[in-house]
Amino acid sequence: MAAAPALLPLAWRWLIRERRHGELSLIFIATLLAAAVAALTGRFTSHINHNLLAQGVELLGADLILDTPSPPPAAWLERAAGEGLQVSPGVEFASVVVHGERVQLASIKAAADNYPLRGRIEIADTVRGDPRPAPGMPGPDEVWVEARLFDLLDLAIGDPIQLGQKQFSIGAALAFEPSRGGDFFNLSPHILMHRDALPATELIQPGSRAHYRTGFAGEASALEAFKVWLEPELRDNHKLIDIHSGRPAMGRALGRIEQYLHLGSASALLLAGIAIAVAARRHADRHIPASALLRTYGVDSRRIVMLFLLQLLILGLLASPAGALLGWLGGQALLQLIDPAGAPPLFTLLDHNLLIALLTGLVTLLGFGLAPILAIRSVPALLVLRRLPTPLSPSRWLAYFSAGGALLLLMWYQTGSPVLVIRFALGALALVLIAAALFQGLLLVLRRVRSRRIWWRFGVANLWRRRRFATAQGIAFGLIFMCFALLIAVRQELFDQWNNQLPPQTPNHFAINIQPQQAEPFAAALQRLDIDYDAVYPLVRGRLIELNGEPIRQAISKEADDHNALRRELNLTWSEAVPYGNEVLSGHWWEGTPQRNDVISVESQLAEQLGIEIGDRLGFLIGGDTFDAEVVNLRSVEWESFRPNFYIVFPPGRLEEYPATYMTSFHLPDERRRLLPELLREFPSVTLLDVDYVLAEARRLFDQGSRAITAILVLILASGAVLMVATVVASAGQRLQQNALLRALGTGSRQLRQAQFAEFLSLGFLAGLLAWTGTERQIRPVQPGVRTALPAQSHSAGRHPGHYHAHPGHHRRLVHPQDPDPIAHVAAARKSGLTPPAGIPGAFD
Amino acid sequence: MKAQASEEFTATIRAEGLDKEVTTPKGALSILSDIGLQINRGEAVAVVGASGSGKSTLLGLLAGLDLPTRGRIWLDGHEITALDEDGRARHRAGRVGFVFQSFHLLDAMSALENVMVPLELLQLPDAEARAADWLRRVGLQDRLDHTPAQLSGGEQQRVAIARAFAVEPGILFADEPTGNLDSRTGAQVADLLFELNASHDTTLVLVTHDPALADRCQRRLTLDAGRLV
Repeated sequence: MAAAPALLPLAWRWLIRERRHGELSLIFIATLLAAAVAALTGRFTSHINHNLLAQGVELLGADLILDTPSPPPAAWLERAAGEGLQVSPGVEFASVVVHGERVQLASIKAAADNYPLRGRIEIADTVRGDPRPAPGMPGPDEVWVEARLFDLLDLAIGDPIQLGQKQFSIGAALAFEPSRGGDFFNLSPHILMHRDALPATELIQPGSRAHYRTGFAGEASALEAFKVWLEPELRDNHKLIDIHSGRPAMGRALGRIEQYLHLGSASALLLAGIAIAVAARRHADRHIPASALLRTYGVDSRRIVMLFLLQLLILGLLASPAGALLGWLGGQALLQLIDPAGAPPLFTLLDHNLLIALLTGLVTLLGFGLAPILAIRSVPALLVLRRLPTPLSPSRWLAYFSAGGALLLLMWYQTGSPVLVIRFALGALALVLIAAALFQGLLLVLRRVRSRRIWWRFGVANLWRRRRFATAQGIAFGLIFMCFALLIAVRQELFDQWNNQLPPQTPNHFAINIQPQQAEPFAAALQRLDIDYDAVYPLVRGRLIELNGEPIRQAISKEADDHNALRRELNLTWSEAVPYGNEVLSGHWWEGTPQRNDVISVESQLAEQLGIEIGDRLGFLIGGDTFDAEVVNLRSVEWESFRPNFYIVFPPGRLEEYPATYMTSFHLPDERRRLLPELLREFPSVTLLDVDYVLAEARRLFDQGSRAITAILVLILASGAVLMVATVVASAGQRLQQNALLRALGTGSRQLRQAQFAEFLSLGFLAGLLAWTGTERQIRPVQPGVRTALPAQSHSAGRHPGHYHAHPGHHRRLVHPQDPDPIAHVAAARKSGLTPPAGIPGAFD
Repeated sequence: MKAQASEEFTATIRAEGLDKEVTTPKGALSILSDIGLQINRGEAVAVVGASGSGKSTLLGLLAGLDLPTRGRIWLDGHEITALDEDGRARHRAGRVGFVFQSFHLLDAMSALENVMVPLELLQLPDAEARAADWLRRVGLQDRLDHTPAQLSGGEQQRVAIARAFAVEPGILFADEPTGNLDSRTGAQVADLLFELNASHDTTLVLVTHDPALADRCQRRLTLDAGRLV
């Protein structure tokens, strides 16, 4: 490297002098695109993750919640304040509320002035009216009440209600409030009041059952320091909750967008990389005589390589930051367009993703450009005296491997999924080999097609003469077509999947806490009201304790040990038929077969993660009873379907002896919401959850995702175009020379044009044929690949330290379908739906 | 012994028992056979012979651009046949200059930059001023910023001569330096080459099949079917 500074002026001058040569521009543009693609992907995935976290925090109402059965020690709060954290004390409890003659159990939250520390409260001036941000907290004589309570108690805004010893007036309808705690299976309508008014109610006495929920917010480092200090102090009945304690199942759907973006950007990087390789090869080829000349001056191979590498590096250092910035700004502009309110300010976003994009550009450039440049090393000095065939140096192949390695490393960094990367690499390698053989075969066939037209014979002969290059060119073209076709197909599949998941009739209400004797009347009422509903499922709470007679935690792998399904009670159900939207992947469903009641159906991903196979016996603890059952089938579940979903399903006849409640979900269009009070009056103990907000949020995010995907497709197209130009430019010199010779021999320009047309037509036809074959072959393996690889792998959500540094490893939970609750991903997330049960673990326990 | 030491002292180039064979599909083909020669400092030697007699191959071997199949070559007292390609390149640095039939200028660069390149690579001071001075000496002071495409063949070869002499080499190898030029321009270029050669006391090895050009050298080495005659 000592020679580098001395060579720099020459390298720079040479580069400037040659700037108009096509291949340098191509290298520049391809590097720029590589960096832009990485920046755009980083920008979008950051945004998606930022949204996930922001929504999660918003639902939590704070960065961190401490849940204690009694007021937390003052020393803890002082410690938090000492760390510079904001503290918001609050208490939640259940109590009856009285209005005239009517009484209803309600869930009451008494919070301080600064509540919530994150997110906001929304109120409406009429029941189910347009929500608006609340100006603060209710006054000392006022409460804000959830719409359901208006229905249950026949209330109106301004009406008085009695809470304990104090009477309050209803100031507003509570439309949204973060941090809903409590048990959702005993969910009661919510009331928000000021903490200062609490003593007057005399509802909280020593020994009263209440959750003291203290919220904390502040810098990530201060929060982490406080958590580290606090955790050893906590007792069993203390809970510390942060965003990562939740399990946003919607994250999985967003994970698919993210994974698609990464796959798309990998394809674009690959195309840009190949364009760089082709252009760098042309650059190197053009400099073979110059390299031989430099040798006659006494320059050794090391310095010659250094000279050309410096040029490459200068190009990279110009193109990469420019591309990173362009991609970043483009991404920002697109986000502003899609989501003006949600797009964060530009300058807070100049984070590590920009650096990653810059490095991606440089790694792509050096990875792919290094090979041809290194080959210059083997140019013999003797070339100045005579034309020699220039042999392909083995170092070139070595460097191609390094290029591939660099690309795979980038992909691995981006997708966080080695399996996906290996599949992509093996697929690409196999594809290139098959395509090369196929292309040569097709070319041979084309050559044998007899034509009396000289220009056709000439064009095809041209291809045949340069068949090695033509094959590479054909594969490159084919690859471009195929990448594009494949990504469009997968994009369509993703969109279809989303639309299937969230069709207009997607359930927007859950009914839970249906008592056994109410199950049939409730279903009948829904039918009577012509409400489209799912089956009514029984729920029995039980714990999974054994696998094949061995305690479950000993029987499974260490990684699976912290699986949510093992840390809490599961909702077990029974059903004669396969639950709606589920698909039996292996084994047989019991419907219509002689009944055994010691069998179960297990959700396939849970089975995979815990290593459960058909024929295994799982042990359960329900109430005080233990029993086991044999796994007879594995079943896929669409967790984002907004329908009751279950890890474990029994056949009828086994769980009936245990206490159960029932649940269902149904779709109720806006104009029929007036039916809700009627339903609630008939079934006052049933809890109805409105998840329209969740649906709206999901649709909004999918819309954002689809636009991001379109943007990536455009960049892939641009990379493909650069690659096409690169391959054409690479053969331009030779073609020009040949045409000049032919012209000198008397060939007319019309014939030359026709010959070129024939050449490119054949090339395009063969490449198209390759792409079509490849797409047809790949489309099936790739689509399930996208589908299955996503949830099973930890993906790049955790690869963005800007959001996750403070919580290494937590990203797994953000995307994992470890959701033991049938409606966990939607139930409480009344607004955004990104975080189930308001980020509160055990909300269903 | 004494005579040999004296020879080595005065001989800039010495070759012993040089054979060069290339492999063809029909077996080994001998290009040069049993060549022995000695060229003294400041001497101008013409290598002549019919096309295909091995003139350029011999020039390439003597300059260290290629290795013989057998035999040894000393350049400036060092045995270059014992060195690898990079070693031979390093040994040439600053010692050897070349003028080629097809000029071999860098297309993208100006005349001035073409002359500067070897100076910069040798990290010689004042590269630009020296290059401009050499272009003035070959009569191209008005063509400094012209690229090869903007220069005539004779002008291009003059740039190549300026480039070759700019590093002030002890030995100059010229391969058909007038071969691509018309006779008048060729004569002008030859005049320039011999003039500079004389004034700088450079050892000149000139490959040509132009008898007039060969006559201007002090000595003539004639090759016939790969052998010195």
